[in-house]
Amino acid sequence: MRKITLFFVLLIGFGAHAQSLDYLTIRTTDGVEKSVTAVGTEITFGDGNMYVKSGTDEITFNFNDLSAMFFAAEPTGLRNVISDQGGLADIPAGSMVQVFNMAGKPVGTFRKQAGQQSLPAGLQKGVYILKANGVTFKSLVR
Amino acid sequence: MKKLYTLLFFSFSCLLASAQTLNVVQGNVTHAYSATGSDMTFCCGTRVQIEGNDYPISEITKIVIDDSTVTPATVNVVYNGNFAHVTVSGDMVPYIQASVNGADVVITPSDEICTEITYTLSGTSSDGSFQLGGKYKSVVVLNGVSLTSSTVSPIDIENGKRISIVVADGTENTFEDNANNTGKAAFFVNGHAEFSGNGKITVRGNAKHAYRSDEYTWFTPEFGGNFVVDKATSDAMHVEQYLQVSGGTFSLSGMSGDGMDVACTNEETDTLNGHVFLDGGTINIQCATDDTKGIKADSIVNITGGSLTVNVAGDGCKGISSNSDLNMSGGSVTMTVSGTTYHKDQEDESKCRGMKVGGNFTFRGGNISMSVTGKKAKAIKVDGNYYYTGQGTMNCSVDCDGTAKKID
Repeated sequence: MRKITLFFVLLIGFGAHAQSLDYLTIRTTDGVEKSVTAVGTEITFGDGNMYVKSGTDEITFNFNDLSAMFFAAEPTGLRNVISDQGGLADIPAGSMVQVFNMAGKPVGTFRKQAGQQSLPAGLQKGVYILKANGVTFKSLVR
Repeated sequence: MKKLYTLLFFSFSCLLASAQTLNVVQGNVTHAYSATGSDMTFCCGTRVQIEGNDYPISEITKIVIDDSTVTPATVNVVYNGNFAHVTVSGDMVPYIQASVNGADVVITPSDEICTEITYTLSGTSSDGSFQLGGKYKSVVVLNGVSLTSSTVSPIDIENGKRISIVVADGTENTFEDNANNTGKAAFFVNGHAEFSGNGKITVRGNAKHAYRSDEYTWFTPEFGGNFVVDKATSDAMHVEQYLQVSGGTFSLSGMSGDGMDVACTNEETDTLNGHVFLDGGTINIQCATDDTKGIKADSIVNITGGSLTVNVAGDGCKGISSNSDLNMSGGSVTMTVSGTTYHKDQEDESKCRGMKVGGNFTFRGGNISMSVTGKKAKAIKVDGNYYYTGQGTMNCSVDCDGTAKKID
């Protein structure tokens, strides 16, 4: 009985680390990668473009600029949005935002407030990755 | 114990890791791929390649990613009124050609296939059909599907191999053709059919037979469901090679031909040609059309179990008609023989019989109960010899042209 219990504990631990391919990353010919949450994504084609709709986010790619797309466990692409408002402009109020450093290490989470224009205090100057509502942004703390 | 741990390990891991499926939709056909980390490459501004399969962008309706799980080697067909949608698992994309025209579906598997594919049918259409080709054994799951066709056989399995037909538990499945159908039956299997499952299947043949197989049909012990024919312009069930009933509940009525007609094939090497085996199940046949048979066999009839009830009401009808021997060692046969002579005094005169045996009748056990009221009708008529052991019960006499002899 003890062996079986230990076995299931190890199994649950393993399962917690088993990675789902939760993101679809699209790579363009210039090497830039952009990620969206995979489940719920719908892709259509027309007028020489590929239209990617994921949640409230819609991205258009010129088909001639596309190189490949793949599933990934972590978002490897970033929306190149750096604004004076710290990259928060595009995130709706009330959204939970995860913050990662450029090494991909999580540094915290917060809920975006209405009118919030900067990241919470305490972050050192630098570039951070923000993840909210299935879309990933890059943000700068000056 | 080690094997148990290993099995639990992989099962649990799969359970905890969530799934993503990339669905490439092309009109009424979807190719479903389990998400992998492999690149899906774009080419030339016109194409995308997914797991080695090339897609012209112009032919893609959309790509949708969901959290479903793709089972390998599967094809799902969902009928919805005038339309049908086919989903092919990604691993089978190079080998399956799916054609959808309204609610008429034609599946053509490649000759290269050496994997058993499971085809699951569901939904309803008042003018739809499913045709399956191929040269490898297959599984067809009837998962709550109802098809009526105005032109062809609703089910037309041209594949000549072993076809495992699963009548899914708790489902009702109905098939009916039109009088214009030029196919062999409303439900046709070119190969050998093996039925299992506990659901219900109802077949109506307005052109010819309701059900037909051109090789053996076996209702396995795992078939606990219901097989109903309530209309057939010819036979309710027409089987070539042999028929074996090991399970299930059968209700055959409304046919202009025989209930179960088992004929020899033209292949001399086919085994058990023309034989009938009843070793389980419950069969009820209403034989009302004149000069027809409840069960007709070109060769030997073997009864070792199950229950057969035939209402032999039509003139000249036979409850069981065997062109060869009839052997009974178990099970029960109950017949009500009320019909009289068909075309009396004419060249094709035929008298009404409960059991008509063209060869020898050997009775080693079981129960035979006959109620004979038809004029000139008989319970059991044997052209050859009658052998008995004294075991079993029989409430009627045996009229044999040969000798009656007790055996061990």
